[in-house]
Amino acid sequence: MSDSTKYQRYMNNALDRDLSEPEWEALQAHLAESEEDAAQWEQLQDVDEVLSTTPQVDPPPGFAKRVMAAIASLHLGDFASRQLGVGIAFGMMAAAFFILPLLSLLLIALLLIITDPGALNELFQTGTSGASYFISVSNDIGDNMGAIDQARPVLLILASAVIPLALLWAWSVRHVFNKQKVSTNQRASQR
Amino acid sequence: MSQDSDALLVQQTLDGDQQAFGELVLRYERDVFNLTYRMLNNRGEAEDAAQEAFLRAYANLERYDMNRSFKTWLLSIASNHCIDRLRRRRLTWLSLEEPLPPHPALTSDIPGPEEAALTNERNVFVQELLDNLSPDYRLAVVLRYWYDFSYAEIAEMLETTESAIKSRLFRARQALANQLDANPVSALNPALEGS
Repeated sequence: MSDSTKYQRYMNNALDRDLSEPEWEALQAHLAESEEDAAQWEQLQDVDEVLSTTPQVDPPPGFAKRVMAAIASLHLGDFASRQLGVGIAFGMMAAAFFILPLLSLLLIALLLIITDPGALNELFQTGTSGASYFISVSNDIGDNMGAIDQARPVLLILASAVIPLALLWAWSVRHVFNKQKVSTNQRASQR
Repeated sequence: MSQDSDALLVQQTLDGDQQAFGELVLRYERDVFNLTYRMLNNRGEAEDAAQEAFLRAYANLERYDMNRSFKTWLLSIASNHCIDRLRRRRLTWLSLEEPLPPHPALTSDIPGPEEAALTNERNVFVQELLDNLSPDYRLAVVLRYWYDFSYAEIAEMLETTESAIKSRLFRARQALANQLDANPVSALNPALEGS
């Protein structure tokens, strides 16, 4: 370490009040000999004086209230719902964890089939027979529905089965959302 | 004692008492605002950044380690946010389509007693000094002089080494001393006496 670097370090440490007595004496002796470093030491002390005596600035009035209003408006207050969110995220990750191997297996199976002409032909035949089976089943359902239509109107069956189920689903969704809203409002009113 | 009660307020906030976080905001608003103002040198932007720092702290409160000082944790959030803002600001300045921002001294247009504190000669002088430092150096100076943090604490906050912080502060002091050489502190003395 050169002398200059050493005394620069001493000056820095002196400003931090972290200089031993021998080091301080060595610095003083050096500054008495070096005008350039003595001038720099003066300037460093001025910098230290200005910075250490300048007070903190105050925030504008009402700042804390604005921060709390911003927090309230972002609805970050409900830690429970955030934990629920975390739970959902973990659930989705777990689902992905289980689904990815299945998708990989499916992809491998598809690759094996595509690269094997015999298997591809078999798949095509299965597909066409499946399609014809689906068409015949659809026709059967149509015939059966027609028979039911003669005895009881189809619309009545739909109304008695699908509509109550849809209403039940809508009520469940509304109930869950309302529950979250009420817990947030309760916390707000407690304040 | 302060740290214990900080931890208590954090726990109460985590238990759903938002008012407890309000206490923490009141306790540290000055520290956080001072940091953002010293770093950004613009009153409006400093207020936005300070608010953002509190929001980030609140949103990440579950990650706060109760064994650490809440103030240190909060100021490290504010510091990182200021560094991000300064980087974005630099990119904006580099864009030819964006107009240059007005001089910080001209942006303090909000009336009130706090304005006097911000626009007085000493603050303008100090902010001009700080403004010529790189963000990393400026942050080291601000944390050292206005918060009296040790090198170890600053290093922990900025996720670097103690020697790196010591080096930054040393170079920052030298740069500031060179600035003072061009703009002597004696010109400020009347303002210092008056403030």
